[in-house]
Amino acid sequence: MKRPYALLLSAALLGTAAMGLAGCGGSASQAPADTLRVGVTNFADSLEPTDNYFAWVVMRYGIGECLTKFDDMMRPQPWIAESWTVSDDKLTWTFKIKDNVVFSNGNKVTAEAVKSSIERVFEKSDRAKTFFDYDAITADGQTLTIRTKTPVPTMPGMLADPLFLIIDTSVTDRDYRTEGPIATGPYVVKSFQKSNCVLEANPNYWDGDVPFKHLEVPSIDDPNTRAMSLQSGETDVIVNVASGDLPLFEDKEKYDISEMASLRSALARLNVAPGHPMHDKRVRDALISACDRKTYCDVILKGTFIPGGPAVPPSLDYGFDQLSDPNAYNVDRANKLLDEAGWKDTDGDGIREKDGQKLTMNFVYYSSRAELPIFAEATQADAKKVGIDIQLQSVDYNVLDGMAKEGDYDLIISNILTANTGDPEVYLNWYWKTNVNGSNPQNGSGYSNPQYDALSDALAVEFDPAKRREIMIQMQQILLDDGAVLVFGYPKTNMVSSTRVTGARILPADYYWITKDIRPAGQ
Amino acid sequence: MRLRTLGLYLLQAAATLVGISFIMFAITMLGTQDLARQLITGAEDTIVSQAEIDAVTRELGLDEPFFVQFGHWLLSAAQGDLGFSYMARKPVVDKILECLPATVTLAAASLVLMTAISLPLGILAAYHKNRWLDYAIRGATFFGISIPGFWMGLMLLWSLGLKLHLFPIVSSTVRWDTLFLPALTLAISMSAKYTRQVRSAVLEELGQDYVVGARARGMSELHILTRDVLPNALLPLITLYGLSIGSLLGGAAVVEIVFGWQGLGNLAVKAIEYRDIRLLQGIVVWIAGMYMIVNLIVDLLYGVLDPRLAKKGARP
Repeated sequence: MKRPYALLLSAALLGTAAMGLAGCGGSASQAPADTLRVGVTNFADSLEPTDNYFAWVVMRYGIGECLTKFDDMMRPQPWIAESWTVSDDKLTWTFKIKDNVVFSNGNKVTAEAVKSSIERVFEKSDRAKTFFDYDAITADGQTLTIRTKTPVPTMPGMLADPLFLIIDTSVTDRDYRTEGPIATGPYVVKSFQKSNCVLEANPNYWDGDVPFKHLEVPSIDDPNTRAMSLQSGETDVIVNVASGDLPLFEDKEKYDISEMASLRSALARLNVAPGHPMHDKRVRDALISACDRKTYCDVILKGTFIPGGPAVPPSLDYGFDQLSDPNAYNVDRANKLLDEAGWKDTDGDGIREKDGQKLTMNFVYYSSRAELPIFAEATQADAKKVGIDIQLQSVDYNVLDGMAKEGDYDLIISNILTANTGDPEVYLNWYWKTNVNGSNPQNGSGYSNPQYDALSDALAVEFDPAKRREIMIQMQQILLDDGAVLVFGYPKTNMVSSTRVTGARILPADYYWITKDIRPAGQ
Repeated sequence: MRLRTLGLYLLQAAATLVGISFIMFAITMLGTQDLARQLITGAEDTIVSQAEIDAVTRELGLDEPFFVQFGHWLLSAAQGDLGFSYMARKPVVDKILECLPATVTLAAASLVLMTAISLPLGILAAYHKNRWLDYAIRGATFFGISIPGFWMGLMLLWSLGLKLHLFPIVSSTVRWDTLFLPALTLAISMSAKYTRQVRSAVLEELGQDYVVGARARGMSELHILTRDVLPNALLPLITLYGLSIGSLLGGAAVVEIVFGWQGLGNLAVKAIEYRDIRLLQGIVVWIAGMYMIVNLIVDLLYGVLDPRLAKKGARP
């Protein structure tokens, strides 16, 4: 009886141990000093920049650069271009290309090369024309001119989108999908798989020295695993740590946390169409006043959101601090407004009534973003305190979009990217510009304010950034005064790095991850 | 299995595949209101222009009637072309083949580990029926069945990777050292099930007259176990084994995501997220096909391993 056990146990242990031991030895260790390892999530199957949104990855990995670059307030700044002007008729933009920029193969970046690169984007990507459409692009030495069909006030911001990163189109014997394009960034691709990209320093980098000889970018989808990879020393930098994991990196001796508001707003669109309770401004003002958004963001979501107010997040320079919110948290005011509107709790069940109707509203939300059900449930709880019954309705995102357009809701949730090209004009129009017979299908809320529409029209033809800023501040103040939207908060985004390196810094635009500024500590 | 039976089986398999792909196609197409937009943004709230949506709709033929789209897909699939993945910007077949080595490697490793764990434990539990060792093993199997795969994976990463530094945390490339933890995670939950099956099958055989007879003739326990008990006890487990192989070849989504393992499970989740119906369709057809092939192999194996069934033309 004894021998079979011993034999079987030995076999099992040997089998397991053999696999285990085979695994040991390649375990976690610090990378050589000349190697940087960055843990990310990667959605791109290839490095062809004109496919889908893959150009984002080409830029995130430090391979490609654009004519312009957004700063920490999403204002376009010079990058490959050193300056730009627009003609009096607002149709011709002239960009002066820096004289010292070269591609990684040593070829000079001339206006002709830039022209060819931009033309290639238009030739290969359907998305290009959604930014702008051109009549002609001409090149003369280091001067590039783009003549557009209609005025494009935000052209420098458009050209900061990674889709328009500048590549050397004269190189034809290269598979962009696996080798990446020849571009101007600090790193060049050695090998690429979706799960892992290996890069090397660009020997011809034009903007100073490249701090690491080697760069490895593994894709680690699970946020907990990503956090552990930094703790174990297998990565030096990780992007987007889950909110619950950030306290793991509070030891300043070991880690640096770079955190800031992203370009997103988490908000509820309010249906103000006739027949809905919030058609009455006092009701929507009351609901917004009843919501303790600071507690939602600071306590329930552990500070991973900045409490909401204006429509545009504070990561953009559109007057966040100078706007005033008449519907800031005030329960007494909410009760008073509802009383004035004639909603009273006559049967003592805690819910107000008027003309025999309960003050009941539905709140449509989706769950694929973890914070959205939390905002919905918190709103339900706070609304109940002032006698409003909120019925929650969870739907799949693709159903939600249709309901939003149809106006089939009282409140509907959104976590939206507000300004991908540095300017929130499209976003502000999308949700709140008057929808006349389907002219603006995304506005299914029935919201309409002629003053807002007039400002929107003025914005469409305004080229002066300062004036554009002023117009969009006014538009946001109208939304706040009208109680047109309940903005819960703005999600923060983060990058955590080991103190082995410096300069890892997150910016609002989600495509400046690996830069020449990430350097070994002490350099 | 005779040639005619094999032919019938293949015909049945083809019909099942068409049926499954039709259902899959219908669910995906009818459950999504704005497929082109979904393909562009995934499940994100991102501003997308109508021009962009129209371009993708045209590119993928999404403006054609449902049956025309399905018909086109079916015709191409019959010629080995499962369509083009918008998400990956490459043919579906290429994308599946790209993820296949990772999936097959993980499946094979987890099966080896599972067998190495469950077979001896099941036999030990059977030989110690209703004694402390049996109770301990059965208790452990409850634990193994109850623990969710993602939690088990994270705990193994935390303990063996982060704390003991025995294995790497990052598994984005297929290597021996990156394979062990995901394979062990899968093996632990499967072992819990198999250990109980092995125990019960061995117990049944140990009660048979031929075992008593063998012992009476003075044969060693090792001989009885390896020559008589195991061949009979493991026969019914082949079906279970087949189902596990089929399931593993379809990818183990949760474990693959935790470990960043780029297999078919991970791919399927991404395809769902992006509503990449062509890719999803391809993965489903692959999984269904794998189940059928494995089932066929199990049927054939039964005939070889148990000649009685070959004569009867059926299996228990």
